[in-house]
Amino acid sequence: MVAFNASKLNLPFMKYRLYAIVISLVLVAASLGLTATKGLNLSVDFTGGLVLQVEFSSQVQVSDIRASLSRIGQGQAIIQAYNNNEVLIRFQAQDEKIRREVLETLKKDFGGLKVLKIDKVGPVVGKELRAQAMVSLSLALVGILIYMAFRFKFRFGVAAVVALLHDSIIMLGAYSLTGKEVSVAFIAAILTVVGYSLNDTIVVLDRVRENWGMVKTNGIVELMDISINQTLARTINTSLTTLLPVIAMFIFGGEVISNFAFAFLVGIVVGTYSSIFIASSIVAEWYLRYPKI
Amino acid sequence: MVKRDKWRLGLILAVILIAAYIAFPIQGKVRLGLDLRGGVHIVLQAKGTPENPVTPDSIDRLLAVLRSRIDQYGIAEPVIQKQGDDRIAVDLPGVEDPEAALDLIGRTAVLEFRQVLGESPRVPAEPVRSNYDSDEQFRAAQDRWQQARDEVDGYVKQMEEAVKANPDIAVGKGEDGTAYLLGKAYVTGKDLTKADTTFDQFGKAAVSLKFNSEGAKLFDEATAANVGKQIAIVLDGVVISAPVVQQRISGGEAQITGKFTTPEANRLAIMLRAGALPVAVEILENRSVGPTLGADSIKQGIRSGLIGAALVVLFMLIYYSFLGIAANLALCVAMLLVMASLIFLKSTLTLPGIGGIILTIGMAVDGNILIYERMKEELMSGKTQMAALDAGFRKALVVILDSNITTLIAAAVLFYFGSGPIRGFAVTLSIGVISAVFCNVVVTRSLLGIMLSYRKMKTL
Repeated sequence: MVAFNASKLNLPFMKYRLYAIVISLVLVAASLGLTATKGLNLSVDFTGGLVLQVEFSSQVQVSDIRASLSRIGQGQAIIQAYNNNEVLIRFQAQDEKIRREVLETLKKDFGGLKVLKIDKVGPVVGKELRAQAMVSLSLALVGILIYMAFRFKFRFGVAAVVALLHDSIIMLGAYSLTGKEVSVAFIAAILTVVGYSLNDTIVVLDRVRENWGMVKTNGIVELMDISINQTLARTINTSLTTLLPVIAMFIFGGEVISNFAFAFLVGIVVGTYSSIFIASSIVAEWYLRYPKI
Repeated sequence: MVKRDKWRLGLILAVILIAAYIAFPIQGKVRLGLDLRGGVHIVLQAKGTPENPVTPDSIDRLLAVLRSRIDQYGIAEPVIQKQGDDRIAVDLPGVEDPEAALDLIGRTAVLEFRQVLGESPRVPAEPVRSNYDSDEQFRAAQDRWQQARDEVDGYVKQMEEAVKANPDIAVGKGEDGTAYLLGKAYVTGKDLTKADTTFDQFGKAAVSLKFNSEGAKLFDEATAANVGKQIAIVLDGVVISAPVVQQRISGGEAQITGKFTTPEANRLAIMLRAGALPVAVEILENRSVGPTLGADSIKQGIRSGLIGAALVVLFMLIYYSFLGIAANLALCVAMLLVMASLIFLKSTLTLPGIGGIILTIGMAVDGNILIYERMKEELMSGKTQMAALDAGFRKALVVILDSNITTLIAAAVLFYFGSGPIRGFAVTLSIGVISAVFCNVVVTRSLLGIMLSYRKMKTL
């Protein structure tokens, strides 16, 4: 066993709680602002439309593809090359005829081509998937809130859920900032992070609950610091061990998995920070103002 | 070793043996989703009309026709199921040509032999620049072509006027742009008993038809009445061909020739045999993945999983040394259990599902960390090693359950609301979480019990 023992560090986390709250408020406001102004790069899952992933037998320039598509009135398609021969072409229209026409034109102009992937989502389905995403996000939050209320004091539950909202909003902000695609898989990642990053919060709050007897003698701030320090090693280690495979996925997982892993990456880092600083700061501030629980 | 430990060890060994028996050899046992093995996923929406509304009965007939078409096309393990009241989801694994599959199941395939009441002039082929010497000549040809098209449009307008006056007739266009004014249908695809691919005298693919007795009679009458005149063969409102009837045909056999390739003729024959769709369908969603892309995804998934696992194993060894060995062994058991459960439950492994498994590699050791940190505290408060082990497990258990239950809540919501790949993720995540808890609480504990009884831990 390594001699390092985090519980002896006694870092005064709560001293910085107001800074932490301000930083978090700024991050949340920036994320909301970005999402509102710059928006999210919503995938066809939500917008409806057609994505074709095509592999040409030889190297092809994006500009040539655009010229070829312009002739059939599809010049406004989003064309993205991702290695020498592979391109992703995204259309707003999702007519069967258009797909056939596009593929025929490309075949004629560029010779050998292989369709690697077709994603076509009709506008009706897009709308349904959007609604489903909203419903599942809210349901998961409500479910977790109910569980927390049942297991912990009301204030702890509220603090944990505020920390979760904080994490999810910053994840949205990170996707808006980087312009990464928000697909159905991203919703899955958010929900998973919501479930997972609660783990650390629970570990800290559970210790606070255990130490609650000290609140009269040592005060809430010291109680929080003691509890956070006692659990610091596990908070950091659990996050780190989960982060390691996530980083491997992010770097080596390939396009789809990597995009998926980015959500976890951001979520776990922010989640660890929020379970150390945010959830406990909320409980502390609340208690300082309204000491009766 | 205490008696309780023996029981626990027995249980673990039994679980591992059963899991290994189920999981090995793993090749071909895990059911792969369409995003990994390649294939076509299509959601069809039935489109009713006032005369032909969508009813539970028509949906059932629609399912039957689709099943028959897909079976005859020779696709292994298709999944065709109703979704809601008026939708049908079709999964066709391993299909290499999504276009062909779409054509096969998306077409209504109503075949009619109709009287030809009028015909527009033919539209010549669109001029191609390379056939002309100068730009002027090319432009002149283009103008002529446009004129011819306008002329046809004029005919179509006249025909449409006629149709307004008489709802029994219709306008149909040929694939070359020629418009026909079509009279009543003499015979339809309902009266067929057989449809097969054949080749005409020029070696071109065609479809041969055989009518039932009713159809043969109708066809006989139709040809008798139209000798020297045209009869249009119309598929879904498009005129495939309009041959001139040379003589009366009474044998109940006919042949459709058009501009088919052999695979197209094959599909048409299948559609005619299986029958027309009772209601028209619209393709709402189409997700097709080629087999190479899926194989690449699997490769990348396995590679990142192995790298991730190696990093976690190393971390646990470095940070917890002796205890880390137990955690790593438990991690191996957890992964074995995940694979065995996937196979046993016949769940489908999807690309996000692979992500879920990799994620659980990291989450699986979390429980161990919680237990070990607790044990450290108990040791520091002066307990013996065995007592610290007991107390560590007991006290960490509550937190382990708490934190995993919240993940399971999220997974359950995803399972309920997600579709396809996301459902796969929810399944692997849940299986992973449950296996991890089992390994943390049961496997690690008895491993440590055994290790402690053989070796005195001097410093934890």
